[in-house]
Amino acid sequence: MPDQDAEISARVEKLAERIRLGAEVEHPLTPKQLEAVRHAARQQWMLEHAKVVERDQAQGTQQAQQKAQDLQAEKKPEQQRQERPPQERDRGR
Amino acid sequence: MDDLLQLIRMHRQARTADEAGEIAGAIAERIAPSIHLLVKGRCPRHLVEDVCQEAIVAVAKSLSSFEGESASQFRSWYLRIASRRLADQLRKPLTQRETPSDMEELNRLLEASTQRQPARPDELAQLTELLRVLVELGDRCWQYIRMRFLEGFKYSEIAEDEGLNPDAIRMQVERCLDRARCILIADERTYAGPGR
Repeated sequence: MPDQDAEISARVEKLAERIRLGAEVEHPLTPKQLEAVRHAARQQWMLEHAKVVERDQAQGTQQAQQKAQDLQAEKKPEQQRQERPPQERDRGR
Repeated sequence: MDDLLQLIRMHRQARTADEAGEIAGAIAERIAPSIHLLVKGRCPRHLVEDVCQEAIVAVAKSLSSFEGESASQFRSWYLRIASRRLADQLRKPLTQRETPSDMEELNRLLEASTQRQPARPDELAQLTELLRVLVELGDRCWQYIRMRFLEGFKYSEIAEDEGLNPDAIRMQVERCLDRARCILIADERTYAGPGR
């Protein structure tokens, strides 16, 4: 019985393969359809690419802001020390 | 199918919109016949071209979201997109749709296949007979066999569409094939006559 099942399955597979082959012959894309697909794919690529650029730019801006904040934070104690009046500085010694 | 995977990889790495468009076009040319086969079996004739076009464009637009690496994964993926488009159009599950009689069309495709790969007349006659028997098994059987063998859906995908268990679908397909086998044997005996 399993042999018979395999045999009929193989025959149906062969039939399906032939039909698919026939579909390749009978239903190729027309030049107009092909152009529509290319156009849609180009648009999609630009859309996705624009998103990536936007995200990179946003990330870049965020990183730059963070860096600026870090620098500012590092500078602050230094600045404060330098900005103290000389007497205070002397008293500290 | 290997060159199809190669094209998908190239599409992922496309550096310009034109390049992406060209590659998507080449992919579309390869998958169009399967999508046409899927749509034609389920769609009123006057809608076939539009639905096919929509489905192919939908696949081309989603190419960057395909994450698989094998040909069968890609086939399942694009057939699922095409099925969704089709279902959106017709608002019914695939297997519960009134289908146009497609015997004539399928016989034409069988004939057309010989342009790519020659076949002996007796081989073609056997396949035509098998097709007739499968279609005459009834709508449900034919739909399952069509989805499984012609369109390349997995049992789990047919089950999803039907809201059933994949094993139930597999058993149903096996039963249908068994019935077809019995009919073919009976026909052969009839043609061979009682002396056989």
